[in-house]
Amino acid sequence: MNITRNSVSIGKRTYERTVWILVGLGCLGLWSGIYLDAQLAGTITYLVAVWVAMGIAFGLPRVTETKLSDERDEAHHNRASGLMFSIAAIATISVVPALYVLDAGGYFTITSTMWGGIYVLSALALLYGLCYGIVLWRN
Amino acid sequence: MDNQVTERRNERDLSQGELAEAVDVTRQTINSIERERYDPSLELAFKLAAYFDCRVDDLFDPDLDGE
Repeated sequence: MNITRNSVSIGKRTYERTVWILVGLGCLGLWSGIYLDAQLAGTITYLVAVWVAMGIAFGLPRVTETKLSDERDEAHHNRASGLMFSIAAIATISVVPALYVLDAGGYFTITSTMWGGIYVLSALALLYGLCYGIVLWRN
Repeated sequence: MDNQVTERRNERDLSQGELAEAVDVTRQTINSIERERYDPSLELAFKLAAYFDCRVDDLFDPDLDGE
């Protein structure tokens, strides 16, 4: 069988590991910056590492003939996204309304951290709704 | 899903990587299909059938009767 030569030769596993290691190094740099009181250096380390990782993640598939992701990766991504959203939705719907009522009745106080979590979950749900609408519209 | 991908590939003396390249997927996907851990899309099933010059239901058995 005739095997074509890649313009950039890299395997799928190496590609994925490189991206995740860079993201991990970025997170490590950020946390180190926080704990060593060098926030600016930590932030720069994080941004550089993550930008390079994103550049590799989105750019490399365009310059190599090696198949770096396919329908199975997409299926995994879709399943994981659906599972994550289901867990977030169930947790939110089953807990947040009760917290609102208890807070209004003076039985419980929603702290600023909890409000932050509620806002994040609400934004996630709105973003999901928007994305779902776009997907429906395009199909 | 039961399938004959390993047998057909071995008949042609192909590696998983070579088959993957021929049908434009990753080697890991071919490996998952052969281990019956991933059911391919309709498009990929037809590509594999065309590559092996057989029908889709010669290559894949959905086991609809639960047998």
